[in-house]
Amino acid sequence: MIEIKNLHAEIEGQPILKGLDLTIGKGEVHAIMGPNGAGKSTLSYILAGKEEYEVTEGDILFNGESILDMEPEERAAAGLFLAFQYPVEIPGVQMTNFLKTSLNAVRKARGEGELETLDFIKLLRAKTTELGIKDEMLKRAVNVGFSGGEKKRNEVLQMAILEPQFCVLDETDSGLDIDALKIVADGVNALREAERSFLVITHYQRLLDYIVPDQVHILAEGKIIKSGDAQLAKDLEEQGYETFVKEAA
Amino acid sequence: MSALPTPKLERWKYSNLPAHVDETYDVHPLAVGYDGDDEFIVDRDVDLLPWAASTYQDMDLWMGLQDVLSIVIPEGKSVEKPVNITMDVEEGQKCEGAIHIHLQKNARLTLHDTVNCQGWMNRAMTITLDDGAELIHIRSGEGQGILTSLIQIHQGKDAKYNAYVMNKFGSFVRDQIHGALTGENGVCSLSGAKILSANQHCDTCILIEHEAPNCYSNQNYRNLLNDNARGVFQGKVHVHQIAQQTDGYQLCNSILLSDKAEMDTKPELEIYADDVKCSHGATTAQLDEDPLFYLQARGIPKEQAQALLLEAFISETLEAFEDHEEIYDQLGQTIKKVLDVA
Repeated sequence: MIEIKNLHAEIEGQPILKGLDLTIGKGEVHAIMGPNGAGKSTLSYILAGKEEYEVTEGDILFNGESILDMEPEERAAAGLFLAFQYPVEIPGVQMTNFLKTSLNAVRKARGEGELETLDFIKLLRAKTTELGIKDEMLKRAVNVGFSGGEKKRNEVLQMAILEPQFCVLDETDSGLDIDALKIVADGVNALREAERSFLVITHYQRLLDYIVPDQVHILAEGKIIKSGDAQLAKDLEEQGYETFVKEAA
Repeated sequence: MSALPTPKLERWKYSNLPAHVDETYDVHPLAVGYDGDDEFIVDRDVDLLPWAASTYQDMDLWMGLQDVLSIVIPEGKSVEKPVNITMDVEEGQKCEGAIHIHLQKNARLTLHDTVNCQGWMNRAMTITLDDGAELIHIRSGEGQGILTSLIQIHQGKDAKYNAYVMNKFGSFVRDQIHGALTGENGVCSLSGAKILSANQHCDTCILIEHEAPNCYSNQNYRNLLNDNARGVFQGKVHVHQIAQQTDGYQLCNSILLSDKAEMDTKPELEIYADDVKCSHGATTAQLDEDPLFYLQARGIPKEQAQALLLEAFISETLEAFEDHEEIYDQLGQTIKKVLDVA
């Protein structure tokens, strides 16, 4: 599904990723853990196509094709989705209008017909009910005045609506209490299927109790320094990043 | 004719009118189209210019203009159907005149005020709102010409003035507004947008006088400037000592879409009362990249995402019309139209 090969990237001339390799197969859930400044968020922004980051070496293949020259909207249409660590507030753009515009833009790019308002509302109802999202939230402007939990739930709602093949969850657990974390994790787990892969980026092992990964990778100083199964996350939680970083060096 | 104001005058320092009106004009009185009830038109209203304009020496341009239309809405009359006034000035013409709108006690009116400006339109408008009167005043225009406009509003107790202006037209526009809140609980709300491109110049100059306690005034403007366009916003709230419990707000935010566009903002508060809530704010920036990236990451193409954000930005000017659904929707459509996202 996704192959990241020897990825080097920088922002404003500052190297952040220094030869990152990662391959995620269809239907797999991988987790990336790492200390602050390891390049976790950089990786997620580069996958989604944020302009400020420059890839200086290496490639990212999505279903066998390089996405490096693709605009963010083209990547979204191709089936890539980033759940933001800090979902952006957009005053004046109402949720329902945003979700419909987003879905129809993606459908159009995929050569599917745009949904009429009624059909869209039906789809939206079904998804919001599953995620326990109230209608009132849909009347507000995108993420404006949302609590931390509501913002993250909104990310999962967008994921559910766009039905991507590959989802990157950037510190989806940050700022969530246990109840909110469970709701978000249930939402993600409901989307797990044979054709859909996930990359879960997190600081803490806690989220991985709820979204159990097939593989765990430790990212430090711009590289994957160790990979393993779900047990690795638990070892990491016990021993701390320091041990693994030293071991790698 | 009196001398034209020059940038030497403090309130004209951003706008060089003489440089824009150097041609010879064919001068006419301003003709005003009017579709309201004939019985509202009077020859001359008795109580014109109820407060002195002589405080500022920069208003000679509008002094002594011939009256071209006087409307009086009688006491207690609520005019259901919005009234339209329209004015055209052709290229090479200079049309001048004063328009007087007087709403007597508890009268209500919605006024659509539309100009088509190819030459130079120089107009003054007095708006007198007696106690409890309520006027909604929606202005817009088209044309490539020059507009110099003065609006003076005089409000009594409980009177409400709710105004909107869409400035997309004209090569040079000076929009000067003086409001006086002279009775308790008056509300004066001024909202509007400038959508400027090419070499357009638009200067909004507002002065609100709070002369009575418990009044509310609000200035809420958004501007979008492209190419070499230049926008100016000078807004002043003057709270007199007697005007306790005043609420006076100003907000003027601008987005520059080009390196050559310029926005000058000068918000001012002059407060002599000690129990007031006043604020002013102004920002000038480029379109924020983060919301743009967020929308693109959700599959919305860049151009469409930009249009969505700009529409949202300009639509912030509609807040004062949230309780007037029909006007809110109409203005929303106007915004879509001027931004070409309809």
